[in-house]
Amino acid sequence: MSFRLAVLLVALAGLAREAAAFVVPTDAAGNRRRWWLEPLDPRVPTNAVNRATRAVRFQLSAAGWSATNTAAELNAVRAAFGQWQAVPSIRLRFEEGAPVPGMTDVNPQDGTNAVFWAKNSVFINGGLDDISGLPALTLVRRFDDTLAIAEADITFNGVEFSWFTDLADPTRSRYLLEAIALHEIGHFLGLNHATVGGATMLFSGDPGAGNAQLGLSPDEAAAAQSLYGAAAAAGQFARLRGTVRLGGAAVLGAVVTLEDGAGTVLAGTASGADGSYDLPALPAADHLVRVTPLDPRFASVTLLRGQDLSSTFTSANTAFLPVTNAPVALAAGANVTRDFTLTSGTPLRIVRLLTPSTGLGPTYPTTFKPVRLPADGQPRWIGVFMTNPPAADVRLHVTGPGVSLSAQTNILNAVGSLHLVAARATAATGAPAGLRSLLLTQEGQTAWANGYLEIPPTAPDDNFDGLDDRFQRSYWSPWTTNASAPAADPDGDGFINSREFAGASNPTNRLSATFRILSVSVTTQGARVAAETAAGKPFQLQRRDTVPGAAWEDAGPEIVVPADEHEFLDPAVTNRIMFYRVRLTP
Amino acid sequence: MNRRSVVSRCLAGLVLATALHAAPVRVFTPGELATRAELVVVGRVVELRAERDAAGRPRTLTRLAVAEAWKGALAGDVLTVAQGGGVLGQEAVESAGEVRLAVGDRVVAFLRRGGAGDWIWVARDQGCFAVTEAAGQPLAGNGHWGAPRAPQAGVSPPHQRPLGLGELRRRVEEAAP
Repeated sequence: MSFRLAVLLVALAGLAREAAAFVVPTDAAGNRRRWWLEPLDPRVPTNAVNRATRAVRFQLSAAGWSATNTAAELNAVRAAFGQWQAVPSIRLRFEEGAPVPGMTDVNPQDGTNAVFWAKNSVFINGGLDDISGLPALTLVRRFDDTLAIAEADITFNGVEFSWFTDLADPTRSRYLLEAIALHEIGHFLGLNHATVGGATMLFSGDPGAGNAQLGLSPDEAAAAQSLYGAAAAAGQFARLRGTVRLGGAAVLGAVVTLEDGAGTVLAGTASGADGSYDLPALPAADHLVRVTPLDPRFASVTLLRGQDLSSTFTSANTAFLPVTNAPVALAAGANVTRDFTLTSGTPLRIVRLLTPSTGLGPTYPTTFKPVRLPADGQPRWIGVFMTNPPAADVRLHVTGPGVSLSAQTNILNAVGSLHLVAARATAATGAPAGLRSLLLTQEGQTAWANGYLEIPPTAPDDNFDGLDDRFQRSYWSPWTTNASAPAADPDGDGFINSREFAGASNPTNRLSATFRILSVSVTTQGARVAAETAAGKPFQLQRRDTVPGAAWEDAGPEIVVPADEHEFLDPAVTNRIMFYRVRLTP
Repeated sequence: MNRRSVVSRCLAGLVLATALHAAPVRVFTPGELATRAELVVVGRVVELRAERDAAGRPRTLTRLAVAEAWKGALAGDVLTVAQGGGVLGQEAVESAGEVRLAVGDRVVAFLRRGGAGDWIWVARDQGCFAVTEAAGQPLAGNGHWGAPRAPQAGVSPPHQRPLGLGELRRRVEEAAP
């Protein structure tokens, strides 16, 4: 049959395989589609990559999508770029050019990386492409010899889709711009769709806020570290690679998943046409690795098919039994080879997930997207759907500690002819956060939904800086700006942001910080007041009488303090203890 | 249609509706594609050509020898469909949802006039159905609709059931007489 209809990202001529970790086009020489920054590919347009800084430049359409929320829309895209740039141990930097007023289209040949909202027409790219039905589209121009990216343009469909920016908005009918931008920037950086359920680069996700794809997963972090890693950090990671074979033949599209000791998926990929797979930029530790099949191309109900990754995997071999959880020890800097030989057969399959809820039935909402189970000690029903009737020994499991399952219930024909295996799941407070996997065992077989159950962190940190994102989002837009960094002190009050967070003060208001009084002692020479301060900053000690309603008054002169603690003297108070406070002077 | 069949269809529809509601990509039914299309034809690829448009954009032109027109009128028996991107010289422009064809492929093409007046695919790869043969019967399908052989056990959402060429034509003509 000569027909080859691409469903997703195409594998164009010259791509011999597509098997690097995460999923990225790779050629026979091992080149992967990415921006070539060190050394810089000289063919890249000067407006696409800054020659001096090697920063990848982008320019936003100044008009955004809406007339009333434009600034937040532009900042949502900036925050998405900021999250990719914040992945630890990478040298990737973005640089924004001035927003472009009057942008009316994209052109992957104009030398500019544009971010554009189509608002008047679904025809883009010179009228050559109809983006009807697509929330967003990224066009990537690359060279044939090294797969180096020359230019990329992102278009959001503002004609057919509504966009919002506020994570507190519970709507599910509009699209969260930051989440979709995060995904599209993954394409902008060279990636195809992922094999890991909770990955941002999964082919599909919820449109609204609170979806598992908001925030980069370890799989995307590994992608950035592998494609754009800082040379100095290379030795801290390990690499696992090998081949997957069945009956001596290379297997296309076998999913290789690496999981840590907490049952959290770290990375995943799919083997290429030559059976090879490559998982670079892995954290050094003892891990587990398994090989599982994708869903058949033409199965009636599926969780993840080859064409959901890219057209390269449309003909993936899916008729083999999973190889489950082989231990693998990965030391820093190690390059470990692990080959797999598969056994042919018809695997047990998880074809849908049950949307978690506090009650079970009478209807059973299905999803093919990852689900969330908060670590709050509250029970919720989770479950998986299968096409085979559940056997007497069928069991549902969740990888890793801290999640308990009880009251497993099997419901035949719960949705059409899909059978449900559900259980009441409780993630204990403190259960390790991350992308867990659901697995089903039955009559000696196992089916996996790799990374499809997210235990969300109690404090989100999608920009990897150790500071609670909710704090940063409440004060900055974009919340990934340099001013929001934990060690930054944008209001100049001597309290860095992490300290402002701990003290629940406003990091953008220098008068909001609370400097604690440490001790007060009164003698005939006056009152000595020890207080927290900030070295090199001017402070004023103030007193107030203990009589209710008394006003604050200055006690002594303003002092530029030499250290983060200082003892002030109030010579006017010699016989009793007053109320005191210290103020950073404006 | 008996009651069991009705229930099955409803439940199957529920699965599809769930998927479509939450999926970022909006999958159009054949009827919706037909409504959006100005021209729906069955044809065979006779030539592929990569070139640049006036603004320098790479584009891929697909010449189709048209055997049937299900919607719209065609002056001749050959038409050209344009699409952004492709392989040109030592560069490629790639994106999700591109239509990729080879000379000789037989397709059902849902087409509309693009911004520059060329025929373009409706909704990119959603607007292109491969025509294949199974047990002597012509089937139509793409990554969103139709399966070229009988589905496996379980629910068969309408979009993943085998879609006969005649059935696709009926849906097109119903939606866009």
